[in-house]
Amino acid sequence: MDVNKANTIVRDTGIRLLKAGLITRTWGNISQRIDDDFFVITPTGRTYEDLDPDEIVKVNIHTLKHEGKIKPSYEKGLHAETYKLRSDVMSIIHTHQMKASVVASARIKIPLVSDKMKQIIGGEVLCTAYALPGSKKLIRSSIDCLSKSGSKAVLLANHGVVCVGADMENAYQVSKELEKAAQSFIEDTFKKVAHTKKFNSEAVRRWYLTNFSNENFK
Amino acid sequence: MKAPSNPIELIELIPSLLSEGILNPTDSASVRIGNFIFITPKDIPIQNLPKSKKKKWVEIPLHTSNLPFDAPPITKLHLKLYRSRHDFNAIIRTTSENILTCSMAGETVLPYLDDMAQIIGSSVKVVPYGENDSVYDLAVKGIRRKNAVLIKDHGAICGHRTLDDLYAVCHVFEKACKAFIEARILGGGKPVPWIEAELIRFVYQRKYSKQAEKNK
Repeated sequence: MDVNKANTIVRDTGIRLLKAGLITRTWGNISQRIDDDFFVITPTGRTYEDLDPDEIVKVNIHTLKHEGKIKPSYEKGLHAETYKLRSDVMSIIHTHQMKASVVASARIKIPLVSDKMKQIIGGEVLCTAYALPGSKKLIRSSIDCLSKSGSKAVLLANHGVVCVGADMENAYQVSKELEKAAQSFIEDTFKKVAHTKKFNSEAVRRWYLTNFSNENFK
Repeated sequence: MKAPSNPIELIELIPSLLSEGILNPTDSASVRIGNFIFITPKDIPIQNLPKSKKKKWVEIPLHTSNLPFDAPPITKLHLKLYRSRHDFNAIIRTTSENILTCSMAGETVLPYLDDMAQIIGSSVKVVPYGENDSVYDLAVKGIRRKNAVLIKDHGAICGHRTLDDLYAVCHVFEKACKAFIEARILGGGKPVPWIEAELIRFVYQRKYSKQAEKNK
């Protein structure tokens, strides 16, 4: 793929994710594979709405060296390893999207909750063991989870999610569907544990304070 | 990212803070400019503050003990925090949904998401609510080395160097409280281990923020 085209795809996807509420501020990162040796990725610490396509950073998949003065995302290693090990992956989105991150904080998987989830994500979404962001342990665990589940998403324990796709549109749809699946999973679980048919903020607060208030608070 | 130079800068943020539920009309917000603080007046809902008139804000010298009649009761706490935390130039009292629930539960919030560890600290304590010096001192102690402290049944006080960073603190803490609550619906969950949480905080403060500044 042409670098300029890849840069524009990455930048436009950032804006799209921002508008969909799946990323905020400078958090998360997006990459697009160019060929077997290079990919382009969002820079570190930049807000998506101020980003120009020519500020997207080109990175070597094998050496992780980047071109230009702007530093790429610190998660570049996770993207590079995923591209190396999964030749079918052309685009990667890493977000801290709210509902899927809540499940990642519980360190459990999201089971298949709908036909649409099966169709878009491809299967259940596993969660990695906890590891520091950007660490080799997290990268390995993430790749293992993707391989085991055969799905296009993985939860990073206490951190966020990674969604992959055959193209950027595919990765974007995975990210969107994952959020819906996470919401549905949380809602269904709440109804079971709280023995209620309602899921709203008031019901959650009541259940939480009944079960987890610190009675010894002074 | 610069420290605020005029309280009007906070006004520009208020629509986003209100729409995201970070601020409610009765919440208080202040900025420090030089040796003065500017705080939202007690009888005017935040969204009604005019966008151009600095004089609608209550201006108070940082080291005074006499408060004007229109200063909200929480002003004393804002003043104490500014005096003890030279890195704070803006403070918000937030009662957003999940922050309020955690303040009502009275339990220390641990980082179930690592962005809380980065941006706020490795835990956020709850201190009692009250309008006296000893309670305010507990809040000042509770927020030491952190950017937020929960006030029992009354949400949280958040502070930071710039308005942009303060907005991030409020946003991340609400999300962290949501994760803290909803992870329990899902059977529990575990926080980021303390050592890793401290390490993440250290690295973020030293490296990431400097790089973000350089990349601008």
